[in-house]
Amino acid sequence: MARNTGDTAKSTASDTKVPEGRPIIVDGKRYVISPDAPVLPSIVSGDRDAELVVNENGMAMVLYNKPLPEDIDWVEYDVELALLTFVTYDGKVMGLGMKIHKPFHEGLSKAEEITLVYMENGESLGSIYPAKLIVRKQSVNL
Amino acid sequence: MGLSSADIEERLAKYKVNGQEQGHLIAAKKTGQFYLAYNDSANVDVKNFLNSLGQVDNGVIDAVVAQVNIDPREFVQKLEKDLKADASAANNLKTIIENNPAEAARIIQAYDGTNFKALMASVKGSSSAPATPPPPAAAPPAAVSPPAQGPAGSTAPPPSSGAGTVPAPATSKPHPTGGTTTAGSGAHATSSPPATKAGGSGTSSSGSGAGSSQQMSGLFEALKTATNSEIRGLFTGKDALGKNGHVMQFATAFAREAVKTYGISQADADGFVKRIEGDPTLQKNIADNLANNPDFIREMASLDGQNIDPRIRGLAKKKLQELMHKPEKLADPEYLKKASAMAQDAKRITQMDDWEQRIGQGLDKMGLGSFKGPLHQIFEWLKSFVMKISEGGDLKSMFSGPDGAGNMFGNLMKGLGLGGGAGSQGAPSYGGPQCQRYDHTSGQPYGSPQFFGGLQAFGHFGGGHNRHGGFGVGLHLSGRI
Repeated sequence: MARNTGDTAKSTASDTKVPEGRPIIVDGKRYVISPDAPVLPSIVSGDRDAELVVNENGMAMVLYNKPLPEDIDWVEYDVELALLTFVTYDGKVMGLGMKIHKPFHEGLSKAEEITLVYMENGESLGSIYPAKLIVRKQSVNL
Repeated sequence: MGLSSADIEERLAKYKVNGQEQGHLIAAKKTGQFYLAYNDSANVDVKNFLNSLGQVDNGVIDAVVAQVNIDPREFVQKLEKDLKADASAANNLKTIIENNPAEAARIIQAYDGTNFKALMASVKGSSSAPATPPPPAAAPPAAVSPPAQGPAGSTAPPPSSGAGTVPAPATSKPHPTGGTTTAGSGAHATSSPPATKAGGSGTSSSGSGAGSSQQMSGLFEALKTATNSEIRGLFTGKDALGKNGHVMQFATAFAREAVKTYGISQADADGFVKRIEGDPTLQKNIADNLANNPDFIREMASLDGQNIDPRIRGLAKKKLQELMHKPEKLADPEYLKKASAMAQDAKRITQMDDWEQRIGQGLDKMGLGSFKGPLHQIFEWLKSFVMKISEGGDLKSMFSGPDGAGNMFGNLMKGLGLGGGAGSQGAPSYGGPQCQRYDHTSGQPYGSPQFFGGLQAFGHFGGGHNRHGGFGVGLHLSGRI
């Protein structure tokens, strides 16, 4: 079940999908997105662009060229919805703003972390943050 | 307010109560402006006050945003009440914000809804609030003064802390917490060493309304300069354990700072404190470990979360978050040693404004003595991660703009001294053997995988490349680090 979303490029807060699922507990921490989590504009929105880089060994990185409004706590990859959802420390959510197409599924499904890299104006390293990646496969057979 | 969308992206705090958006605070650091939208007409004074400010120092903006992020409703409503109670308070606070932003930031940080009068009174030259701005060298406000309360577990009554109590003299140093307010006798040297040291001035009061926040700030102030033996005494003495013991005081102060300066959730912080409070064995193990790791205590007490370099702030926050979920880490000697080293590196990093260039030149050129702690490992990790991800087979990327545009990963590699930059025909170069780019809307690949000039990119690392420009991570790391 998901709210609509059309997590397409340049999407806005109101059209961002929010995947919902059962809590996943890793290392004592409970990862679950609240059903009424406030939704922020997607990472790809306004004049902020993003780049997703994944390799077959499950190493993944999202780079973006403008700062995010809030710090990200963890990231969820919903295979069925083909969405990456970023969850802030305050429990708010933001989509990537790009659909995760099939060629990226295998590598991303293996990943346990996704490194978030802020590149100031797309050019110089602004910050790095290895975020926990929760993969929700649900009923999808790859 | 004339804020553009680019400005307001820098700081944004929104909040809802029962599903209804109550308001939001926009603070634009570029222009130093505030804008508070608040739906509750009962709290117009705070809104008018914040919105009336002119260009505001970034330190003040950070302080307000931090408070709003902890609990916006609480902050707004309490400040509203205080501003209403004292008609001149808003003007006085505004004057301080405009003329002494550091002092203003400190007041805002220390404000807990009960201590407004005391904080304002603590500003030099003021009875209730300054008519003129205090000089930059003004004494710390009562908020960072010593705790008004005796050490945990002590039966000593709090100092004369009723309303109207004279705040600490402008020249007095904050005195510690954990100790009696008449410290200086050395009577509690074993159980309350910092009090003995910092409280030597004999200052007996710390401002009215001193609550737990003041106590904790005072504890951290005292611990910054506590000696090894003082810290050892603090965590091995008879007052070390128990609900109000020094371990719990430290844990509570630590959790509070984590919330206040890093935005860790209050629920996580509360869980951390309760977990330690409810497990006497864990508490004892933590006490033993803290007693043997004074560097950790001092580093944690002096690490300035407000000023930490934003490039590593997220990492620091993540480490704190992990600790909040697993307080057992405090009982692990290795963890404390690593955390101490990381805090030291964080301070060095914060003092450097060109570290990415230094990284780009190679860690070896920075001098191995510069970073030997976990942050060195982080850079090493980032570098090797980027190398591995680019070297690994079947590298794929997807950019939100048109093909040929956007080369952030290439620029990152370049910044790390790993090549990158533009490839042939304007295609992005990732320095690795190949990368397939995909159209983000259709999911279809663009042309053929790009081959890049990895040979040149990695040449300066001393060889080991093959015809694809591939390289051995181990070769570089073992050869240089």
